[in-house]
Formats: sequence, structure tokens, C-alpha cells
Amino acid sequence: MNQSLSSLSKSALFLLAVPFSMAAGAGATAQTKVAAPQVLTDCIGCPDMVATPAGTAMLGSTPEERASAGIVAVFGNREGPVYRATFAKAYAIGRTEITRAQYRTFVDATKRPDPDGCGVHDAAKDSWGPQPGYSWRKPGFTQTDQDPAVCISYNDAVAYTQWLSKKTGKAYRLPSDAEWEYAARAGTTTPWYWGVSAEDGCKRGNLISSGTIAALGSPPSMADRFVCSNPRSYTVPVASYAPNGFGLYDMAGNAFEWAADCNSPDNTDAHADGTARTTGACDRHYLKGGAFHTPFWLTRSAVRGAPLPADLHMFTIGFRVARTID
Amino acid sequence: MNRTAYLALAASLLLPAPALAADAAAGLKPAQTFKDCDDCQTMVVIPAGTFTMGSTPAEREREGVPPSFGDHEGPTVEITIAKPFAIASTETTRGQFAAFVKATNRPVPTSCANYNPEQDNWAGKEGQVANWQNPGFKQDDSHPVVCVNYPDAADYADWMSKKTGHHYSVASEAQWEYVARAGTKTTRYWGDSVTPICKKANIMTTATFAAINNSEGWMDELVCTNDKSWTQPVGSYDANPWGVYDMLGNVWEWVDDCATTDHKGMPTDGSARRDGDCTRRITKGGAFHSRVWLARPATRGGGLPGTGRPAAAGFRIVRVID
Repeated sequence: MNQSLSSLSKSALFLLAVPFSMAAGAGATAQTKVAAPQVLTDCIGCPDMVATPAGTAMLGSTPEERASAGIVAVFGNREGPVYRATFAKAYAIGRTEITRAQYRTFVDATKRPDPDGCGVHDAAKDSWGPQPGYSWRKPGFTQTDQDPAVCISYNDAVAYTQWLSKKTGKAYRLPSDAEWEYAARAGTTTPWYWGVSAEDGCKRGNLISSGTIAALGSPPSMADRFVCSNPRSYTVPVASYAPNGFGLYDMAGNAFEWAADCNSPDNTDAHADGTARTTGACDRHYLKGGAFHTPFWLTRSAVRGAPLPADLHMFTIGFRVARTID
Repeated sequence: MNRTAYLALAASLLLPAPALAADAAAGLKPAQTFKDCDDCQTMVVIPAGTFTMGSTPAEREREGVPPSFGDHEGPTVEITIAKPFAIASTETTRGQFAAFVKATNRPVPTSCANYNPEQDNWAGKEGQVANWQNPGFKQDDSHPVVCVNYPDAADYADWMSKKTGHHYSVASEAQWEYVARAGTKTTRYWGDSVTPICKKANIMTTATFAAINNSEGWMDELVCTNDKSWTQPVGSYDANPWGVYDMLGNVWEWVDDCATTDHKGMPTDGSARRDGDCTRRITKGGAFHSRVWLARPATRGGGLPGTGRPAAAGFRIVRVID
């Protein structure tokens, strides 16, 4: 019987189930340390919150990790040096990104006006920039109520946490960079919580795909880069993929997420207690976790996105909330 | 010009042409190229040297190679190539293979293991006529020949030997990997990062994925975003540091070795293995539909029947330099 080379690589695909299930096993080991994720929900319709364990972790990335990922130094240096953060007590972080339905509840309750536009991709010009008429209601692609809300500015995200705090009497806020990364890593020190392989990410999160490239009109600016082969194009409903070791979903890909921190050039000013930077360049904030359209290296746990103004709306940007546990 | 050189030049101008043409490879340095006849392939001179063949578990983990596949690439073994040899600068093209078929009246086969959309596999379609002239996708004479088996490759090399009076053969796995590494010690010749590969090799792309209708079997792999589908003309990407093209991607390349499960017992002089299952042969380099981790110098596409004609397999020849 003829066996082609490609049926060989197809059988190799089936064999991928082996390392994949091993990776899942490793995740399960991490989970057993924190038992089943402890989920808090402060009201009907409030976001599900997961309590992280108190602990210490090394955050940020090494030059070796960045070299291996092929990152330009000017950007990658933002992620270094590696620093130690100690979380003296547990805090809670959103199990998922804030969904469209959750965000709509806030907008309806507060009569918050829609933004006057949102940054989208212009296929004809192959450019990214604000366009009138777009907002979280109409980001330029179809979403369900369970998709992450996008076209959300830093100011929108902070306003949401203030509303939620008032409503519940609990201290909601955006996660600090350190809190976000500690939760994303879930005890790991590898570039991604699933390990070192970018390709494994195609099964672990909504990362850039052939469907995204086609939907964006095969932009020349995105030629000759890696994507996952699958037809999914933009955001997907939150928790469509398996969670990380802390029981959190979509900590890599789907929508970018705002960190609370003021911008800074690198981690030399990171706080050892894991709190957000509140001094310095506070007219700029940055993103964690990558999105459905980002190169793989932007979805690593350590990434600190480029500095952005607090009123910027982009169709790739959403958020997740954190809450202090008393 | 000194007197001796002057006399030598004068003598060479006066002497009648030798009965046999001088060896085109004579006196060449590594990375220099030559041809043994006008329509022969361009050959690149490869230096003598030592290299480490195979991959480490760390490389395979970083690349996400499944252990059951990657274990064939170990243990690593030191190979010493004692003297320079020549390797074709490109995969054998369809035009070059056509000349061989014409010169030798070689029958054109009727089957090729190409993509079967109904089965979503690459075992070929029942009842179709497919072969190197019609592999099921568009090619011209500048593309690498595909739908060829190991005997096709070996017979082509024998024909080249007869035609030129020099010793051609299908590259051994060790020779092949030595050239693919081109003196480097990293996962690929440019380093350990996979990121540059989309600009350096024709591997699986969004265009090829679309051409096989978002095949379930190729779902959730890393693929390159560009409009290049199937094979590309040989030499479409930059050469490696030793001046050789398409060692990674485009088509899998048959090598001369009999199939073995790993590198234990590998000869250390760069020669092909004869101690394995010789009904099966090794392929190297990955192809236009390969996932990233398959396109590494260490990868061994192992255990394929040498008589099979995959639509993603071609070959590359080497020549002894005396």
C-alpha cells in the first residue's frame, strides 16, 4: 500500500495528541496546587472572578526568550529585566475577558455615550486607524454577546470597574501588569503558560489565523508571518479554549487587555509587591496578552504592549477586571 | 607574469585539446560552482569538515516535535566528511527530469500520491492519472520535479554519471544534512528562532491551506501568510551560507539511505546507511505543505516505501570530486 509523505505528516498530527495531552496533564498538576479554581461572583451578571493563590513569581522575560522569539530589541527591552513580585495575599481576577453582554449592562445602567469611532483595519490602504461609526456595538465584524467587548479604551475599562465597585461594594479595578502576568503564568516560567511552542498555541487560544488574514484582505503588511491554519477570523466567545493552570481563559490571544499601570520603559521600576505603577508616564498605558491579529510573540505572558493614550479605542482591545480580596 | 607561468600559458595554448574534457570541478574552492555539461545542473563545491548530525531533545521540545516522530532524529552523531564533494545548487527541476526521461525513453507513470480532497489525505485519488508531468497542481519546467520515487532519483543520477563520466548519486542523508546546516550549529542555518522561515523557505502557507479547502487534517498548524501555493520555482528564496537553495521546504528530498528508526549505528564518514530497511528510504527538508517543525535539517521523513511517488517529493544529486 502506498503511503505518501503527507499521510505521514498527517499521522504525525494525530501523534500530536500525545504531547498535547501531556501538556494538559502538566496544567492539571499546576491546578492541583490551587485545588479547583475558587470562583467568586458578586452579583447576577457580574463577571466570574477567580481567586489567585498568594505567592512569589519571576515576571518579565529574559533576553534569551526574546531572541528565541525573534523580537526586535527596541520593543522587547520593555519586558526586561526579569523581576521578582510577591503577592502577600490572594486577589481575584476575571475568569474571562469582559463580554459584550456584560459591557452592555454597564453602558445601559450608566447611559455611557458610545465613542465617536474606533480603530479598525482599512483593507484598501492596509492601515490601522480610527474610523467614525465604529464602537463596541459595531467593531467591524460579527460578535455574539459572549465575545469579548472590544473598542474599549482604558478610560472605558476604568469606568466599568468603578461602576462595578459601586454596584457590589467591592474594590474592583483593572489588574496591574504584575497581577495580570502572575495570573497568566499560573506558576509557569515559559514564554506561554502552555510551554515554549508557538504552534501548540493554535490549539490553546484564539491567535492570528489564516481566517484572520483572509478577513483582513491579505494585508501586505502582514505577509510572510506565521499564523494558525484555521478559518476563525476575529474574536471568539470567551472561554472557547481550555483554561490555564489557574482556571483563567484567553490569557493569550482573543482580545488585548489593558493593564492598570502607567507606562514605563522597562521593568526596572516594577513594584516588588505586584501593585501597578502609578507614577511616571501616566498619560500612557499598555496592553497584555495579545489579540486575534497579533504576531505570536505578542501573545507571550511577559509582553508589555506599546504605550497608548487612555482614550484610544481599537477593535482588538478589551479588558478583564481584578478585585481585592479583603 | 613570471617566466614559468608564461611558459605554462603558452604550452596550454599550443597543446591540442585533450580527448576527455578537463574536470570542471578541478581546482575549485568551496562555494564555487560548475557544470559538467551545458544542460547539466549547477553544482556547488562543499568543503570537507565535521558536523553534528541529528537533533537534541531540547531542539525538539522547542519546536514542538512529537516525541514519536522526533526520536528518529537522535541520538546526535559526529560525522566527518573527509574530502570536498559537490551538490546540486537546486532540487532537480521538472525540465531537467524531462530531459532524462526523453533521453532514456523512460515510461511515464500513471499514479502519484497527491492530495485527495474526499479523504483529506495525500494518498492520491482513485482512477486519476497523475505523474510528474501532471501532479495535480500547476508547475513549469523551473519547478522541482515531484511525483518521483527513489528509483527515479537513483536512475537519474546514474544517467548523469554516464553522460558526464563523473560519479553522481542521490545525496546521502549525512551529506544532505551537512549542506543544510552549512557550517552552523543552530536549529536552522539562520539561528534558533523560527520567525524568519516564512521569508526563507516555501513551507505551508495560507494560500496552500486555502487550496486544500481549509483541510481538517492541516488545521491549527503554524502556516506562513503569503500567496505562494504548492511548489515554487527552484531558487526562489535566498541561498544558504554555502550557496545552496531550498534545502528547507519546497519539496521533500529523497536521500540515498535505507530507513532506520534512529541514528544509532550511523556511519560516521558521511556515507549512506545500508543496514536498515532498504525497501524504505529517508526524505529530508520538508515541503510546500509542511508544518514548521518538519522544515529543519535534522528532520527525517522516515520509513516511506522507496517505490512510492509522493506529490511533495523530489530529490537532489551530489557528485564525487576526485
